[in-house]
Amino acid sequence: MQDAILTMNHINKSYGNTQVLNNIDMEIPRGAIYGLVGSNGAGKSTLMRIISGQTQCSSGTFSLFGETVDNNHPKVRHRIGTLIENPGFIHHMTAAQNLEYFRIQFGVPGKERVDELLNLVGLSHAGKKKYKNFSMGMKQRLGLALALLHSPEFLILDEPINGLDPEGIRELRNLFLELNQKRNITLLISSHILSELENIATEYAFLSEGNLLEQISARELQKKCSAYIDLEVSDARQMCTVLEMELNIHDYQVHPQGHIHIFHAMGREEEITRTAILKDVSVKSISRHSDALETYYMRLVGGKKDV
Amino acid sequence: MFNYIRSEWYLIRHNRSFLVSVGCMAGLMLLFILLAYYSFVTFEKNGSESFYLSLLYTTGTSFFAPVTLIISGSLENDEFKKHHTLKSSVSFGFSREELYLGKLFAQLSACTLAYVSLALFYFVTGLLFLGVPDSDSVIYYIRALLGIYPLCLGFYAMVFCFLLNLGGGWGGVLAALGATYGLPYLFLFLGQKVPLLQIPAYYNPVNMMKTQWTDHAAFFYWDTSSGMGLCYLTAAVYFILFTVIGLYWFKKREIR
Repeated sequence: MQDAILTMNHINKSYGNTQVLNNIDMEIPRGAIYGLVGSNGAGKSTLMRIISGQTQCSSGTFSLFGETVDNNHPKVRHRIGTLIENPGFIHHMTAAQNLEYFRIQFGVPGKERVDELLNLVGLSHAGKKKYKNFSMGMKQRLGLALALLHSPEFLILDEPINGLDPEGIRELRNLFLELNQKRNITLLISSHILSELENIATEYAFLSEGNLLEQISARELQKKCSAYIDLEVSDARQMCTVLEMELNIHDYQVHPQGHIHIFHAMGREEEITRTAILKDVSVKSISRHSDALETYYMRLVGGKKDV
Repeated sequence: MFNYIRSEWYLIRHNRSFLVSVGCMAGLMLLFILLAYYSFVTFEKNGSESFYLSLLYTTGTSFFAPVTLIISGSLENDEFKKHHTLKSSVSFGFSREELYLGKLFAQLSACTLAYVSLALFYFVTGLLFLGVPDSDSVIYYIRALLGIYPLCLGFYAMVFCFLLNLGGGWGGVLAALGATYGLPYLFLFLGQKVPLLQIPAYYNPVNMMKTQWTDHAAFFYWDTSSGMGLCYLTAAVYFILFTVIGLYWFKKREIR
């Protein structure tokens, strides 16, 4: 059984009367690439800032590497690297100088470590360039270099591919996979570009308005995402009545032009078609389809039923 | 914390504003010397008297207090701007105490270096332009430096408390100026109703650096041993008080 690198119990966070995180229970297994999915304002960054120590939770506890974390145990944070929101650097210093500043601060031996990291994140040509002249993508890469500076076991990355071009996204995706598979680093990544998470994540958590809706492995998610029947009929309204009254199927979504997506009903295509015909609903086509992660997420947070 | 202080020193070494500030201060000091030189050349005073008189200008007008303020403002204290470095330090596991005290001690040591360099520069340019002073003048100069230095440290702790928590922009600077220069006047005013409140009005670093007046003469606190002791005691009180306030405030701030 995999041990957990992070365990959160009943984490709550509020700012005044505004509840931003509500009773979060979460576990990240060691060695995972954990995708944190949520819309703007869902609480992803707040959750990551609590883990990194930048802010404190209002109530609840969490443990990192098996140790309960509070202000008396800051040393366990030496084992994590973070890139949360805007990376923080000194604007008038070069990229190499910025990393050197942190290298000294973190007590990382060997000045060559700076060049090594700049190479790793694709900034070997920009070491002497001042940070204030960096593009957004370059700033993100330098932020990632900083997160890796002290060879952490757990990386917390908040939308790390923001501002990157497609080639940059591909490079970083490959880097994340390398860090995870070859160096056994556990990653917690939040992203709005859900298709990118689909390519690398092994576990997912879905956040909406401060609530953790679901935690699921990639394998289970794949099964769920592939489980819907696309039914095209002449009268969608009547078919909905048939589904509910005759077949006791309530998990479906109506789409334009008579299409109905039916979930958790794999294997019942023949029954659905026969019942529809018996109730004088003309079936134009029926087939199996799979959801993209985005569609699954939208459905989870409550996409509209269009009848 | 040692590593943190070392990294702050690295930052200070690469801070052009700090070097420019110290350079400007040195330039102002040179101006004082040159003014003394040209005025005394006109009035035919001798070297050591000239040096002594110009010393009164610098110590008597709390020159080192603004020097400290300007130096502190040039150092990297905008830690609550959008792109600051503190969040990485906090994420690594540094406590708020380590961050506050580490930054304070690194900057104090930079200020000390600036203070010693400027004092030495002043002495050397005085030698060059105003001639060799007598030993009494030199002893008095050293005594003044020893008296002013702890007051500068106390003053710096006050300024640092505001600059770190409010940033190095106008908000932080005005708050620092208000606390260091305005508070004594406030206590003086309140002291007219409650005499005890006059104590902080008189015994604060900025006021104690100035020329003090009695009915008969002018003096400085460091002229006597007890006065020198009072300088150190006042500096210690203000240093501890504003470090505690600043640290408490810093611990309450959320780092975003």
